[in-house]
Amino acid sequence: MKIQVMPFTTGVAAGGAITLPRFAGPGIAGIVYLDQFAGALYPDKPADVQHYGQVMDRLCTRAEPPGSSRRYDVMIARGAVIISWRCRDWRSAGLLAE
Amino acid sequence: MTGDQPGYSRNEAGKDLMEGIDTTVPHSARIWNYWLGGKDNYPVDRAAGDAFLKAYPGMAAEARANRQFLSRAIRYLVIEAGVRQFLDVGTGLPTADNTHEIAQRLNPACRIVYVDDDPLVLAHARALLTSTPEGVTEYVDADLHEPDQILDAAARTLDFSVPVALILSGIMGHIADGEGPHAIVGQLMARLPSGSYLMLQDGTTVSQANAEAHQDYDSSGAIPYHLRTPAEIARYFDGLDVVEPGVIPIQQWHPEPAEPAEPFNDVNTFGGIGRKK
Repeated sequence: MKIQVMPFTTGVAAGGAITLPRFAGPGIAGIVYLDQFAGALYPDKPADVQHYGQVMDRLCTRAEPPGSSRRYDVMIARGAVIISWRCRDWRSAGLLAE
Repeated sequence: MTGDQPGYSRNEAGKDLMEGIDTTVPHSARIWNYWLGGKDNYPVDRAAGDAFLKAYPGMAAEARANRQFLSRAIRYLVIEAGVRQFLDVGTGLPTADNTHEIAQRLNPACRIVYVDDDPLVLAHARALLTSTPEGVTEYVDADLHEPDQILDAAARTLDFSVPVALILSGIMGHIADGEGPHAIVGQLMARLPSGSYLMLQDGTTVSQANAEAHQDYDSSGAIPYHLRTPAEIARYFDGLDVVEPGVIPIQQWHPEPAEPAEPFNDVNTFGGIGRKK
């Protein structure tokens, strides 16, 4: 698992926790997993999947790279988005608020 | 960047997040990802990829042949040539068999530096391309137009007193004729020690359909890709001892009978390996 941290001071607009599973087969359509207080949502319309994918791509390119030498406690002091990559199976972005 | 910068307002933050990745024009790394069956691409890339295939249907097989040649070349470099260090410029989005995976499977101590200048490619590479404990996999954010910056950054991970294999796989077309593509390769090889290798492959103008498909692609708003003649590809190896059978269509370079053969109707991509004296 690789972790990326994006402090709120970088500028964030994620809205809530997002998980994007990555299915191996080329023919399997994408899906989004949105954790809710009660249960979860699984948007699977291509336009939704693409929109969340775009948000995730932008978070990943803006966040500190995995293994950054910056101190995590300083980065997350005022809240942060934490992006986790579990091999090639999924990417997940969660908010860590103050 | 420090931890005590003032926070952005919500609006500024939202605006900022919309910058950085342009999903309105096709992007070569994302199109290749699409051709190779990956999912890290946008509708604009799939549309451009499909338009390309319509003009040149052989490209999907060519893209797979490109990866197979990379695989065979890395195997040659590790097994036959004994290379343990690789400088791979133009990483691209991760696919099934990436340079460090092929090399470290054969020798886990191999050290690989990937170079790219695309933020999305770098984000994926850093998260997904992980090294063996014995070896090293490092990522450098640099542009092929600045070979000295590439070498300076690579020298922090690679030991330039022992041979290095420079991998330029489907990347030289990003350099226009006026920007001196051959001089750039020369500059990169100049600082590598004797016994180092160049592995290079790139699209040529041999296939009329491929050339026409590229013309359409270049007019799509994407960064143009400059095809060259086989003689111009061979010229990248000037001054090097070229490994037999030379700089040839990639499908014919050390083919392996066990490998699933890609349909090979069109001569298009040329490549080879050269050793620095």
